[in-house]
Amino acid sequence: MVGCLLISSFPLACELADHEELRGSPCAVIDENSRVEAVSVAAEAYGVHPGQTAREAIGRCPGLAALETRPARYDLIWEEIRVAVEEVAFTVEAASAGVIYVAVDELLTCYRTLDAAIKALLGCAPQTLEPRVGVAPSRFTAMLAARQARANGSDVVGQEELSAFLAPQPVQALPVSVETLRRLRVLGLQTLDELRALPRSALAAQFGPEGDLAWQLASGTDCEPLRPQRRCVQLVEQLSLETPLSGRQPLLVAWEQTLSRLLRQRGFHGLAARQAELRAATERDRQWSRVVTFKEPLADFRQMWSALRAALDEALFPGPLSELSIELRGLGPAQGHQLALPSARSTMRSRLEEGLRQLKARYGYCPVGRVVEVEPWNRIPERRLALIDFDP
Amino acid sequence: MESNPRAKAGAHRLRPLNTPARVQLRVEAGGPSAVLQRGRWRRVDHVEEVWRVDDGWWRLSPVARTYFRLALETGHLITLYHDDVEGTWWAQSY
Repeated sequence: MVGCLLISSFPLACELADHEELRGSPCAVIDENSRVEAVSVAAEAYGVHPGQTAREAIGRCPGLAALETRPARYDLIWEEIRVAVEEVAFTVEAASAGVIYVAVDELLTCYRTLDAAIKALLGCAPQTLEPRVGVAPSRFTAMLAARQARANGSDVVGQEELSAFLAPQPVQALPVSVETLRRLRVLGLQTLDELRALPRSALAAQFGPEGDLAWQLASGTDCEPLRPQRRCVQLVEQLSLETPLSGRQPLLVAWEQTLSRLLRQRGFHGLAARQAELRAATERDRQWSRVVTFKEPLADFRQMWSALRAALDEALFPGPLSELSIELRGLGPAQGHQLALPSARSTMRSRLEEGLRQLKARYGYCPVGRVVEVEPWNRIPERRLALIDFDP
Repeated sequence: MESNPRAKAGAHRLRPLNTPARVQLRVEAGGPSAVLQRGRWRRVDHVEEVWRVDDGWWRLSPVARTYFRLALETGHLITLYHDDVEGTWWAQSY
């Protein structure tokens, strides 16, 4: 049996969790291109649907509450849910934001009853997001069951009731291309019952592999196994800012310090990273993120900082930042590079760093700091200069 | 303000310098008349300068301060401010 944890219209669910007063009213999430990304049921009644321009949506529904998309926040919430599900279940496949599949049979060895397993799955997502769980013999059916379940509830479809459950479902629910759905509609096929009544070979001949897949899904005979995501080794370093920073220069100092700390982590020793994700949050919890993919795996601070700085120079943050973090991904063994002969300056620096390392070993922390200008023009004295760890 | 520079585990941070320190003083007619320094009260000879700093009123924790540069009876100049949000007094070089 497969379980599906579903959060319908995930971006909208995240926004409604933060704006309880909008629940039940017509509202839509607008993406960065001023197009509708997700709509509430009340807005759908006015003819608002995803893909429309914001202007058209507001024209159709003058009382529409238009919410600006916050993809970094949605990613953060989804990541928390995914991690929570992985702690509950063994085989987990995150299909997309808001849809996650688990192997329910494995859960029964821990939770004894199906109800307890479903309750554990529902507990992985905040109730304000209104998660639903569907359990069925296949992934597609589990998702349909989850769609039919009430908010914070579940629906279970057994093997014996599978055929009856699938029969009235609309063909538009099939995970096939828009063109295939359009042709099915033109052919007058409304339900899965009508679809599966056709010969499988005829559907395959007409629609190719998608036709064959559609027939299997409609018949409940699809048995594609769950594909758990490969676990990636990741390293993260975070910096908390006492007072939110907005100046470009102090922010660069803060990012540089965070990267420096990250590369000094014990787990990074002897490794190189292919990708870095920069994340930031404002004091009002607005999120920002940017993924930087390196041209080659990098282990050197200067090369990595050069790549990240180029991205940061172009970045537009959503406000003064209070939290920064850098995550390195795609870690692999570092390749050797020919080094230059040491100069007198670098020798002095290495001696200084060695001395600081000894101090750190003795006291457990590095007692030496570096004074950096944060906002020298600020009228509040304690925001002008800051001490940052000089971490060898 | 930095409450405990070494307490934070895990995430590191920028530690602000020149953070204000609490100060005890006597107030007369809305202005400071004496300041407690090293266990002794020092009378304020005169107020050299008064200015206000209002900042971050759009943020969650706005800053509203009235700074006083004071000349003490000993001849020393010190800078204090009154936190207009919390109603407390602090010493801080400006």
